[in-house]
Amino acid sequence: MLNHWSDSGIWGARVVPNDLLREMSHLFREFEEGEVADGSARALQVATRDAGDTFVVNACVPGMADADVEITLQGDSLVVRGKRNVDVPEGYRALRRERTELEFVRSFSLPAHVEVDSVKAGISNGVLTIELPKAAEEQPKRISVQAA
Amino acid sequence: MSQGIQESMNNVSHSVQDAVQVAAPTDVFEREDEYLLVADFPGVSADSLHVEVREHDLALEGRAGPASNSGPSGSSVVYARRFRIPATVDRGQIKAELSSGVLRVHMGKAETARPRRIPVGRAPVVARSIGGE
Repeated sequence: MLNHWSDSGIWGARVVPNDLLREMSHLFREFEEGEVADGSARALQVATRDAGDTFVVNACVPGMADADVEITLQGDSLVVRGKRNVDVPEGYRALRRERTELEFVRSFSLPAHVEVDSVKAGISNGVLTIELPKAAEEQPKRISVQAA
Repeated sequence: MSQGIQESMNNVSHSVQDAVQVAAPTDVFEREDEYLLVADFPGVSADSLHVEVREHDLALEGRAGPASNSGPSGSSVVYARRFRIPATVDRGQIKAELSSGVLRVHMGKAETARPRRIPVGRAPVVARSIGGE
């Protein structure tokens, strides 16, 4: 169990979102990897799910504010961009640096039409949540079963 | 002393059954009067974040909410970390704050451990009389 603490320090190295993404690939096809030179795009953890009448995208963006994230939706393509700086606070010197700068561009191909005007996004506790309600014709419909 | 705060190799006391455990990435900074530890805990609210001093260690542990970044099969994520606190830290002066998924722990150094500036007095009057004439 000691090796829990000897991680490389890349955050989320053991977290599952990549597996999750693979698992959900039939729902959200990610067609573009982050365009980041130092590979830190992998550090962005994203989870996607189909919540019935809504698609939900979550991304870990600790330390980032609303203004640090840009979300665009064009047709069935969702693009999320963001950046965070991790500067040494003024007056301090660094003894250990593990938190990486984040600069990412992630694109998702939505599997169904969404109501563009009803898309909501917000950051809470360092987690970005984007809710994309499916267009009316895509929503699951309940068929009532009549007694014979 | 350059490694002011060492990572403790002791394991977190209780293992986590239904969650993926992740080492929270952490920065450590030093100033004359304190150490500042900054760690990412995305999806963790203040209620579910535990910051404890246990003997010589600072233990950090927080569970991310199920809706935010859960793993497959619904398991949640537990961020944890444990650091050895230098003897120079005044245990009564450890303060923690959580904002936007980032934890900041300020650890004040004991008075005796801070660098002390010794005031340099002006030269005595005698010196002036020597230089003057």
